Amino acid sequence: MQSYQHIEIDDINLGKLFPFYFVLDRTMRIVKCSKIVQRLFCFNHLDDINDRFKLYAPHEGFFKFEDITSNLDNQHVFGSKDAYGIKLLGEFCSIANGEELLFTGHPYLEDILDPNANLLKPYDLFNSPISSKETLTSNLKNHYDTNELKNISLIINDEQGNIEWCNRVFQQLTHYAINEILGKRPRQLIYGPESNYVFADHVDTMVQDGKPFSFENIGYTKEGEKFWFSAKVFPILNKDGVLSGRFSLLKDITQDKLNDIISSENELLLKFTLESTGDAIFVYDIIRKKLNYTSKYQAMLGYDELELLDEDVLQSLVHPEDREIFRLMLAQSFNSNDGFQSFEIRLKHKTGRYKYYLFKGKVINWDKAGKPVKMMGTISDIDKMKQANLAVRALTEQLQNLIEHLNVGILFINNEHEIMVSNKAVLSLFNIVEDSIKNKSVSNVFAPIIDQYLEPHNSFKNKLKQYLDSQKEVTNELFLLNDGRVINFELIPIWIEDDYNGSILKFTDNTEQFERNKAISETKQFYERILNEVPADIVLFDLDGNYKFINKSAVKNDEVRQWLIGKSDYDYFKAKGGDFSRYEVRKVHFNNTLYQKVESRFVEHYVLKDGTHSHRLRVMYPCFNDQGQLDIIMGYGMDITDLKNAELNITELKNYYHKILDTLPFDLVVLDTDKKFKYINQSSIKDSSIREYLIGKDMYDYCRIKGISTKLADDRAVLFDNVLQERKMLSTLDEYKTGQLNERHILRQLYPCLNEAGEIEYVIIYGFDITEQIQHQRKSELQEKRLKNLFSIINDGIVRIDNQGIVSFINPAFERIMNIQPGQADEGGINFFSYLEPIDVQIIKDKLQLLKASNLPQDGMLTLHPDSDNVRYLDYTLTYSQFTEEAFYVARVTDITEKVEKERNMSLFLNKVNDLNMSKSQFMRITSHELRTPLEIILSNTELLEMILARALPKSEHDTSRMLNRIVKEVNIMTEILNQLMMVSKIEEGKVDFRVELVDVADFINEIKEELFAPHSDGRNLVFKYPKKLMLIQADRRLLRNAVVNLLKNAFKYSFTKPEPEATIKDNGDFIEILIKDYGIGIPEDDREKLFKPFSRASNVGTVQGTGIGLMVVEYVAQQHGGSITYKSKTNVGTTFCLKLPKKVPTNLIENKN
Amino acid sequence: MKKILIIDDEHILLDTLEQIFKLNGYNPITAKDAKSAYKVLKTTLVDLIICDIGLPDISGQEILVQVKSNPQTKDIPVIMLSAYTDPGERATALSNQAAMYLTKPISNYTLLDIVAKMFV
Repeated sequence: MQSYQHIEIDDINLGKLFPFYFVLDRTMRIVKCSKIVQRLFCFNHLDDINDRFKLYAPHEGFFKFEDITSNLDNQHVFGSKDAYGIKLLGEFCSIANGEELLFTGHPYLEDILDPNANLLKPYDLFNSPISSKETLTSNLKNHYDTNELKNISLIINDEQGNIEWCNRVFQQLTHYAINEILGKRPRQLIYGPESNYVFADHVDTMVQDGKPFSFENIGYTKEGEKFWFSAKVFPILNKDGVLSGRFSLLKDITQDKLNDIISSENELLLKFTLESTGDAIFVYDIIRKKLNYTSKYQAMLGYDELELLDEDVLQSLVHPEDREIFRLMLAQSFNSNDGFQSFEIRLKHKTGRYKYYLFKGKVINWDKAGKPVKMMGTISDIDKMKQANLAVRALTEQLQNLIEHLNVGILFINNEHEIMVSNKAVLSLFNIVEDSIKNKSVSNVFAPIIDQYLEPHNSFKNKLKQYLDSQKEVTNELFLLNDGRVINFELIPIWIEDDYNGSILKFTDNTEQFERNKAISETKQFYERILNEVPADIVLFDLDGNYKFINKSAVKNDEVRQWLIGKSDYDYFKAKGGDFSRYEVRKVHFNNTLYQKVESRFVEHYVLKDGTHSHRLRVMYPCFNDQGQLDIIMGYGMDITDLKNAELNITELKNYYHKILDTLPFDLVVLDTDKKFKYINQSSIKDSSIREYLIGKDMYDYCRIKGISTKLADDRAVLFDNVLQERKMLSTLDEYKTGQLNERHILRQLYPCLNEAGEIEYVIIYGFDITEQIQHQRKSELQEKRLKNLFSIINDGIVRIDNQGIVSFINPAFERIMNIQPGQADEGGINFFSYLEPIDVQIIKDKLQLLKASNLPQDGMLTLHPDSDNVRYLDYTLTYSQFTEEAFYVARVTDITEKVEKERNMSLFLNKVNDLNMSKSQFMRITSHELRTPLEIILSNTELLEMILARALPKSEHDTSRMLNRIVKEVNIMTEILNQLMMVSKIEEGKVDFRVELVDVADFINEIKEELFAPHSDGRNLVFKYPKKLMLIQADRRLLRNAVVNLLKNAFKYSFTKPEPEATIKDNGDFIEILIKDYGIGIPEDDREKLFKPFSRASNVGTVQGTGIGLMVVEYVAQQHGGSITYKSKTNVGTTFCLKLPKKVPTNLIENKN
Repeated sequence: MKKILIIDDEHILLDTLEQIFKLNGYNPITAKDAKSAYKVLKTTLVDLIICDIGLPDISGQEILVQVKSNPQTKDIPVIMLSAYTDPGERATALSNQAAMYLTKPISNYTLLDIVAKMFV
């Protein structure tokens, strides 16, 4: 419509006038645009507008230069194609002779503020639609801030969040002028004491992530007046998704907030009131569909306070069958006048079970149109009540059905003991008409009817009264009616929760069963009585092996018998103490009978308390019932001891013993008093025919058969006669040569056997083969002989004694040591102990016991003639020996007198040396201490003199101070010497502390250099070279410093000219070497040995001052660290000392010191 | 003028120290043993004590303990000045709240420096 053909576009001015403008050329390329537009849409000049904009135009499809030109009357809405793009609403006008189009517009927020966008939802931000007919000219200056957006503040920010543009609403809200706003961040303007800065930070994070963010917060006007606002902040992203700014919408919600606070205060009050009723409270915002509720509500549904239940969840919680009702009820309550509704509903508890709840609700707010806005109400848990009601109803129905058809007589009485229900059975049992007892008292009406059937003393009425009073269950109470029937009575009280709700009375006609039981029990008793009288054990097992019956013979004790019924044999043995060997056998036979269905016999052997034996025959016998099925297994037991004993007849006995005798591992021959063989065992003569032949013959016959000399028979006869004569056992040793080398040695013992009359009836000859023992003994003797020979030539004394010291062997060395006449020992009677001091005897006796117990050699030392000049020290070892069957102790004795004396002298000598050393150290220490006070006096007086002179003769200060300085300097040198002395004395006394820490060597030497040698007092500098890397060692700083300073001082002291002394460090892996080199006088060959000794100085030191202990300290320090000090030197060329230190001080050195 | 109690049994040294402190604007009071030191402390409120350890009657360490346990004197700083270089003596003194432990011989300038710093 308009064309400003004469307008020259001035960017800046146009931008001020129209913050949202752009200019298009004929190709629809953007020629120019305002800064804000560029920010908002990330335009590059010459971007084709069709690429970047979506056109929301009334006439879709035209988006060409000509189309726009011909539709200048229309308003156009442009929106970015990006997700959060703001839209512009505005008009075009033609400029530059129709060659270009100028668009001027303002932000159009309708879509952004769409409630469906779900960001600023609760507040209807946008409620005034844009007038599409307004023209650009009529409202150029204010239509984009006052009219269309009268409530909304719009802010456009740059990448950093600084405000680049804002509309007037924001200025009006905050009371700031536009120039105060631009370039600042909103938080700098409107945030105050109660504002939540977390939001401000969060906005930045969200925008950086390219996401929009909504929040509510408190702001302040320029004057500090508080307001609430809701805000929505959008990131502006360029084509590449890179953040290029943001824009924010702000809405003043102060009024809403105040309303909210007031209503929430009211609600709170109400809530507290209602809460006290124990019900849950809810408030339902019908418009926003928002449900607020108290924590009780969650608790009722089984949820924690922190778990949120929203309205949707509530819908899904409703039982499917109740959903329709729920919907209807809610709709009714919304529509009814008073808005009140109350209904029962099933909701799903968190446990998954549906429970009954009572809803009471009322609409409390309506809008102007009369539509309900807010509903409030309570929810109560009525599940228990509801469930109980339902259960009772269901139960009652079921029961009534059931009991009507039961054979058992049933009465229901209520808690007033009135008969509520009676079934046919009970009526017919007692011949009653239902109406006569219905709703009547059970005690007063029903019980007397029963009593007609009973003896007076057995009154049911009385008993019933007791039962009802106790409200306890009664079972198996039997009544014998006078018509012969037996009635079983039961009473079951009904408890619901803790309330007594009446009882059920149950009457059963047990007559038949009772009679049958009685008959069975009588029969049973009869037979059991018989079985009990039988003199044999009789038990009956069922097929599971449990006792059904035990007679008195089997188990005497009545209690045990009773106890065993129903239990198994296993239980029996377990109760007896758990020896199951007999049980196992019985089980096998039981199973045999059970499975094979045959009787199974076995014998049990008992040893009774009195030592006699008893044998019991056991039989497992299968018993079958009428149908021929195995029913019971009878166990039958009988004492067969006598029978058993008789079984062992005499012949068998003889064979039995002969068998035993034959298998004996030694010869056994029995002779009668006429020297005739009565019995010969197999061991004596292998061949049985010879054995049989020899019975009744004598030894001479034996010799003849064997073809040997009868001398044996002669010898044996002599011995035999002796036995007969002396009536006691005699023995002899027979030797048989059985081959060239083999011999056999048989020890024969002749043992006379007496009969009852005391006469010798026969003689038993035992023959033991002791060949092995004899051979062993001979070997031992040989060995001893050899040892004795050996002992005779060694220098150690050897003595064999028993535990009382009686000597059985000594060697020549022992005779010499103990001063025993040669050969004296052979005469016997020498006691080793008699040569010893009593104290030593006691010790040796103890040691012998120890030796015997442990079999470990025992060492010790003896002293002979302790108080005389001829004192001797003997070292000994005791060992245990068993040459023959007797035990001996062997002692090895060595004269160690000389050695002991030598050691003693040495230790005396060492003590003296130690004392000397100590006294020297103490001397040094005390001296150095004592010297300190005089030195203090000299020093302080010199200085005092200096002070006085300085005041009295200020002009001549120069002369005196030089002299005084000399004194001070000398005192300092003496102090230094004292310190060194002190150190040495402490070193020698072992009193120096040793504390290691990590030391950077280069750093450490640099420090020393800075302090003392850069430059040194003679003006020269130390040249220090070291590798450029960290070299750490473990060291005691104080000691190390002392050593290094000593070495460096020496280097300077004993070299006078250039080149200057040098220090270098070498890293040798596990060690660090500190090398200190000088170009000085060197150390003469002759002095090298004593160089590290105290107070020793090289012979060529001349007048150079020194204590002669510096190097000693260095060596000590090196040793303490587990290192070393070495040097290379040439006279008048120079010396290099090498202090080698480990990086890690050996742990034993550290431990020793601490 | 700050009052300094100097305790030392070596009378020449005592005299020298007295002269030095006088010369440098202090008011030195001398005591040759613990007994006379206690006498001074009873009647005079001193600002600093310089105390030797090897004394004829009671050890300087004991004086330190007495001074520090008496409420009237416990706030007076005590400098121990001794010929003992033993670390044990030093540790004992410092644990008994001595302000400083100095070993003889010490330069007067150093001593004056330290004392001056005590009063800053």
